[in-house]
Amino acid sequence: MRTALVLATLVLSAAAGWWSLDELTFDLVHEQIDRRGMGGRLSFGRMELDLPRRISVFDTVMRDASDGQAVLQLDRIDFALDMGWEGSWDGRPKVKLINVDCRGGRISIVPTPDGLGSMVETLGETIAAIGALVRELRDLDAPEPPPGGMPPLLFRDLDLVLRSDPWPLQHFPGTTVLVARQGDGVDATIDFGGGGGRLVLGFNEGLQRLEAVDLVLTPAIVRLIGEPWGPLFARLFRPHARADLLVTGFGDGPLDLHGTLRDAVIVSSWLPFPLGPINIPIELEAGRLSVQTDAASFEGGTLLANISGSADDLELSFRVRNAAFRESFLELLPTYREQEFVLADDGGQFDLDLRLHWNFELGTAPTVSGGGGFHVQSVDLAVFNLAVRDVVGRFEVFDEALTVPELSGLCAGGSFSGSGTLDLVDNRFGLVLSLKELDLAELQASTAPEVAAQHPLAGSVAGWLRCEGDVDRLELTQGEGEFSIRAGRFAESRLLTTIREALTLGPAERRNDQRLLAEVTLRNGILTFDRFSVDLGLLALTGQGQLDRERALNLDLVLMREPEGFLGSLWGFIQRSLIMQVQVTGNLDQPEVAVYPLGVISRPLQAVIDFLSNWREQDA
Amino acid sequence: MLRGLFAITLLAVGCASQPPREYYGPVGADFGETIGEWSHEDEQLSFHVRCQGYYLNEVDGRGVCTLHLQLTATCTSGDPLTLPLELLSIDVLGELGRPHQLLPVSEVWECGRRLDEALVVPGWSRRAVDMFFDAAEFTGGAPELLRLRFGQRDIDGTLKIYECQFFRLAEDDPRRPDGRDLADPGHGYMRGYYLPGWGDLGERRLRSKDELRMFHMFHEPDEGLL
Repeated sequence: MRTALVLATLVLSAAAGWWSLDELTFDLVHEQIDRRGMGGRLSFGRMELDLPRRISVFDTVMRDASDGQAVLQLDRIDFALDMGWEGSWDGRPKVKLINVDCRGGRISIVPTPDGLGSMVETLGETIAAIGALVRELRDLDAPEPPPGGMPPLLFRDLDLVLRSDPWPLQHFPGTTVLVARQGDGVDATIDFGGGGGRLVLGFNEGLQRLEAVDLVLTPAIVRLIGEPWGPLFARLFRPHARADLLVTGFGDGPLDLHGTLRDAVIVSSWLPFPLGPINIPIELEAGRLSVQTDAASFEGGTLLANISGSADDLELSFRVRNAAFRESFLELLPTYREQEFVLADDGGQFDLDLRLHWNFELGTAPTVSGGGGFHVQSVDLAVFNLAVRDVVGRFEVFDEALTVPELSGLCAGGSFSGSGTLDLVDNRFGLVLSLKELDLAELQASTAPEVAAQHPLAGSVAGWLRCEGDVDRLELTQGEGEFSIRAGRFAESRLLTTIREALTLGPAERRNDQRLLAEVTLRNGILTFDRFSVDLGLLALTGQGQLDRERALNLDLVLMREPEGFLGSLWGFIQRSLIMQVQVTGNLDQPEVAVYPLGVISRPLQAVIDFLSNWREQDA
Repeated sequence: MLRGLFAITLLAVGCASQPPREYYGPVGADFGETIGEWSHEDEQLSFHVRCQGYYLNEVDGRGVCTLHLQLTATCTSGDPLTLPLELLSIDVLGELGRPHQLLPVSEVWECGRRLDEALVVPGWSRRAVDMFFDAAEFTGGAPELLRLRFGQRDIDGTLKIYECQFFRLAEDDPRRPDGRDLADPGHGYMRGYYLPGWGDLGERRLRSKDELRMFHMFHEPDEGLL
C-alpha cells in the first residue's frame, strides 16, 4: 500500500510536473514577447508542446509595427529539444536544455514599402527573445546568463517563399538559418536553399551589419531594399546577379555599402536589349550611392553606365556605342505591337547617350536628357505597304522635349528626309517631312499593285509636309504641304481617265513630261487641295478640292484642252483653248465626274492663268 | 544664239572633236534601264555612286568636256564622315586598265551649295553631291573606262581610300537612254539619267536651287526638248 501510495504520488507529481512544464513554457514564450514589447509584431496561432522532446509553433506572424501589415508568416516550425529536468516539490521543475534543433515550416515573406526594414528589426528582437528564452529554459534558477551563454540555434529545412509583387515568386526550399553568438552580438546566417547564396545579419542591439555572399539577386529581392531605391532599381533594371556585399552603419549612422554584383544581367525598360553578364562594383558612402560599370559588351555593342544618388535623388547615365539594332527594340514604343504602322527587320545599329534624374522629394517622373543616333537597314511602312531602307537619324532629349534634327531614308528609288519634335509632357508633336525623287511607278507597284496593273503611273515625286498635332489624337493633326510629280506619265490614272471619258476625249498622250502640283492643308482629317494642277501637255487641269479620311473626293477643277501644243502668248493660249468646268465627286476609287461649259473668266480660271504662268516661268 | 556661240567656242578647243554625250555603267554591278549604281556598305557608312556620263558644256565661258558623277554618302554610325575634295579624282583608264589621264575634281555641289574643302557627313545622316571633273579634252575621246577615287578620313586621322570603276555603254547597248523617251525639261532626269539635253548642254550653273531634290539641275533644258 505504501508502495502504491509512493508510486501514485510519483505519477501525480510527474503529471503535475508535465502540466506545469507545458504551462511554464507557454508562459515563458509570452513573457518574452511581452517583455520586449513585441506583442503587436509577433504572434502565433497555436503551440503544441510535447515536452521534453518537441515544441511546435503554428501560424507565426510577424507584423510591421507601423501598420500591422503581415511581413512574414511561418506556417509551422518544430523545435526538437534535448532537455534534462529535475522535479521538485515546489512546483517548478529544473530544466536543462542541452540542444535545440528547429525544423520548418514554410515561411512566406511579403515586403512592406520600406522593404524588410521592420521585418529585420522584428527578426532581431525575436532572435534575442528566443535566446533569452533558451537561456531561461537551460537553467531556470540561474541568474541572467552572460551573452556568451546562448547556444547556437539552427533552423533547418525552411521552405522560404518570397512574394514581392509584381515580380515572380521566389522559392528557396531547404533554407537554413543559424543564429549564433558572434563577439558581443548575434549573427543570423541565412543559407538560402536552391543555391540562393548566403546572407549574414549581424545584430548587436539592433541590426549592425549585413553581409551578402554569392547571394542571388532578382527584382523581387532588390525590391526588399525598400523605398525609394528598392522598387526603383527593381523596376528600372530588373537585375539578375550574384551579390557580394557588405553593408554597415544601420541605425543612426550613415549607411556604408561596398561590393560587387557579379554576372549581372540587366533588363532595363530604358535599354532596348538585355545587358550582361557584367560585374558591377557598388559603393555607398556617407549616404551617396556610386555605381560605375566598366565598358560592358553585349550583342553588337558596348555600354558604360553610372549611377549616383542619395536618399533624395538618383541619377542614372549610360552610353551605348554601336549597338546592333534588333526589331524587338521597337517594343519600347508603347503601342508598337498594336499599331502595325511601322515594322522593321533586324539590322543596323545605334548609339544612345542618356541621363535620367529622379527627385524623390518631388516624386515625379524622371527628367531625361541626352541623345543618340540610329541606322535601321529595313523598315516597312505597313500602312502603305512601302519598303524603306537605310533609315538614319539623330535625336536629342532636353528640357522635356524629344527633337529629331535629321532623319532620312531611301524609298522607291528616291529619298525622304525629315525633322521633328515631341513634347514629352503633353505629347504634342511637330514634323517636317520631305520627299525627293521618289519613283511613282515603284510607289504605285508597292502601295496599289492591282491598280498599277490597270492604270500604270510613272514620274518623279517630290514634296514636303509640315504638320503638328497630339500623339494621342492623331485624327486632329493639322498641316500643310506641297507635292509635285515631274517627268510623269499619269494621264491614264483612274481619276484622269474618268475625266477624259466624261469629256469624250480620246486616249491619253503617251508622253513622259506630264506634271502635277498640289498644295495642300490638313485639318481635322480632311485634306484640302488649295491648289491642284495637272499639266498633261495638250490637256491641263487646275482647281481646288478636298479628300477626307474615307477617301471621299470633292474637286472643283477647270480643264483646258490646247489644240496645238503650248503657245508663247498666254492670252492667245486662253483664246484658243477649250475651257470646261469639271466637278469630281465620289471617292478616290470610283470618282464621279460632271462637266460644264465655263462662260466667264472666273476665279478658278484665274488660278489656271496663275498656275500656267508660274510653272512655265520656272521652266524658262 | 548662245548655243551657236558655244559651238564656235568648242571648235576652238579640243572638245570639238569629242562626242557630245556618253553614258556609263558601274563595273561589277547589275543594272537595267535605270541608271546603275556602285555601292559600298560597311558598319560605319555606305556609298552609292552613279556616273551621269560624259558631256560637253561651258564653265566660266570656256567649253569643256565633263565627267559628271553623283555620290550619296550615308553615315550609319555616330562618327562624322569627312571626304576631302583634294582626295577626289578620276583616273581615265586605257588599255589593260592603265591610267593615262588623272582628273582632279573641278566642282562639287551639295544640296544647292558649292563645297570648297570637304564633304562632311554628320553622324547618322545622309548627303548627296554632284561631282564634275572637267578637262579641255580627253585623250582619245570619251573614256572607255574610268576609275573614281575618293578618300575618307576617320576621326582618328586614318585615311581610307575607296575606288570604283565605270565603263562606257556601247552605242548599241539597250540600256543607253538616248532617243527613246523625252525627259521632263524642268526635271532633267529620266530613269535616273541626267538628261537636260542630248547634245552639248551649254552653261553650267545651279538651276534648281529652291527645289527639293537629291541632285540638282545645272544646265538649261535643251531647246529640242521643249
